[in-house]
Amino acid sequence: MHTTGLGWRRSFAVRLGAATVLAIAAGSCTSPKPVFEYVLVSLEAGESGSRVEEERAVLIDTKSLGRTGELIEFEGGKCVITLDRPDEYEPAEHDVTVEDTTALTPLKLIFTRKS
Amino acid sequence: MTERAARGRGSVRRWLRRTAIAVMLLLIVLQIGAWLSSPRQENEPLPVHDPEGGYRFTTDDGAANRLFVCVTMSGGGTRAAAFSYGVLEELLNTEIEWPPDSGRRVSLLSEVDILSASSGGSFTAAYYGLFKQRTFTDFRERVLYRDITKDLFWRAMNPLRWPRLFRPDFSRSDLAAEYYQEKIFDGRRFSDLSRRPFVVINATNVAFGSGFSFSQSFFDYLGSNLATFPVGRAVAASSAFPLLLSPLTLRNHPPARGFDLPEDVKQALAGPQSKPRRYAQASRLAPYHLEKEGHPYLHLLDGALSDNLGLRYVIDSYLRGEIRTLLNRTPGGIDRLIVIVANAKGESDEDLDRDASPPGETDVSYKTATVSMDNYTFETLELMAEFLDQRRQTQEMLEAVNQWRREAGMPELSQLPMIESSLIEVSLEQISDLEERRALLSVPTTLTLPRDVVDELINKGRELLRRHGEFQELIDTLR
Repeated sequence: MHTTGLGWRRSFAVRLGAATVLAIAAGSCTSPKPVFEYVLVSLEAGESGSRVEEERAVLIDTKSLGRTGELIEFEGGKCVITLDRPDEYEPAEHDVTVEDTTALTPLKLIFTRKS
Repeated sequence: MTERAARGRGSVRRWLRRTAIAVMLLLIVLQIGAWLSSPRQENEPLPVHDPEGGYRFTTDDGAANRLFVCVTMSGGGTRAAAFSYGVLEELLNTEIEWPPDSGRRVSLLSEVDILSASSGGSFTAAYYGLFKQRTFTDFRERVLYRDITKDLFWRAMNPLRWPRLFRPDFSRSDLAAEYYQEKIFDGRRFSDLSRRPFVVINATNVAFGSGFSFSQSFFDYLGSNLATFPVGRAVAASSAFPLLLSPLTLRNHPPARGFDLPEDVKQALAGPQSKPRRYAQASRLAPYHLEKEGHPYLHLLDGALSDNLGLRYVIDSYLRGEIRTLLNRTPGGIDRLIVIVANAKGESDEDLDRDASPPGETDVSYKTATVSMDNYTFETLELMAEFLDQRRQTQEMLEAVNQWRREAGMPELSQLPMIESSLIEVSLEQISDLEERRALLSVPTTLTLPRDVVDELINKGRELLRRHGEFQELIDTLR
């Protein structure tokens, strides 16, 4: 009984969520192109590829605009994304053009700890 | 008869000759006086660039930013100065509890972080930035009730000042700047202005038709030091309405040692394809650093021409400046962003429609100068509202998706730092009484108004803010 109840709730939640996302997507079709772009920067350990718990400041065009593991909202376009010192990760920078992202589908960038 | 006529012609000729000699002598005296008189006050060069130094907004000054309040003040001569002063008075008298549940009662005015103003509003913003509390005891007498128009007229009529006006590098705006600096701002400079609120005086760059804010981050491009620049000159530039006053000129000095274009500007200059807004702003400032020979001077006119609300600085800061840095900062960033716009826009000339004959040259000239300004003002306000709405929607959407994912047993997506925002515009058009509204909307844009009109405008600024629905809601949550 308990399992059935949870399953019903989960399936309802999934439908509700899907409906919400669809509604938002439909809404976004009619609204003007959003001005903001989104980036998610994560850190990984060198060989294992596992996530690193450490948090670092993320610099976009040398300005501190957020932290690793957090969604960063900014104006986007061509930019250079780096981590704040010390210089323990590679690549040293991501030279990217951030376009056509959304908060649900940010540009995901990874910095890997130097071995 | 003929003899008398000949005598008459002779005396006219003599009179003409004497007048011509007198005019020539006067011109020579003026020219010599012009050579001998002191030139206009130049903006000083900056020998060494300091990215944290000078009068610029810094995010690492130790100030608490959780509640971040921006107040913008529009153009409109003394009408705008008085109206925005009323808004300041109301903010002073609005008590809030901040931080929440701390028991600490503060005036909302003490929490203002940015005061950005154009034209008439810049008198109020600069005065408060310099004199803080004193503003509420002497600003009315020293500025709002003062007959600035008459004072400027007699200054220009004083023959002792004519030689300077004869100099090619001295204009009517320079005369106004000296008057403001001496009589209103007590000779103060930007280094005397408060850091919080950070005061932004906005003017218009004549060559590019773009906004120019008196902040060290703009002066860096000119290799110039804003700290030593007279506040009165900035206000004169911000309120130099075309035709009435001439543009005010800044010298573009050699670059300060160590200054290079900011990285985001370099990236933006790559082209307008991906982010045209970034490109547009970068390409109007970068030439003052990259092509100094082609731009040895920068001429400034009324800030209202490019941004009548003084809101552009806040928008740019929200998009890519200090506000953006603070929004994304966790912890210690902005929790609540409040933007209050004091809009003293006057009436549209609906009376023009009553006449069968087309409007005359004066009306057409005035309209030519202000039509696009009015439309742009409307769009600027809409833009700010749209940006704040987009943020609100994105936060809500992520929250809804994460709620769903939580219930579905899935890992949550990264959320944005949650902020609450309010955009509150107070304008004379919100006056509910029709007659009162018409009367105040028709107050002319001038630097001289009768005392009772000034008092009425101040009272309306206070009342409109106090009664504004969104302001009331905001204050209820902060009390």
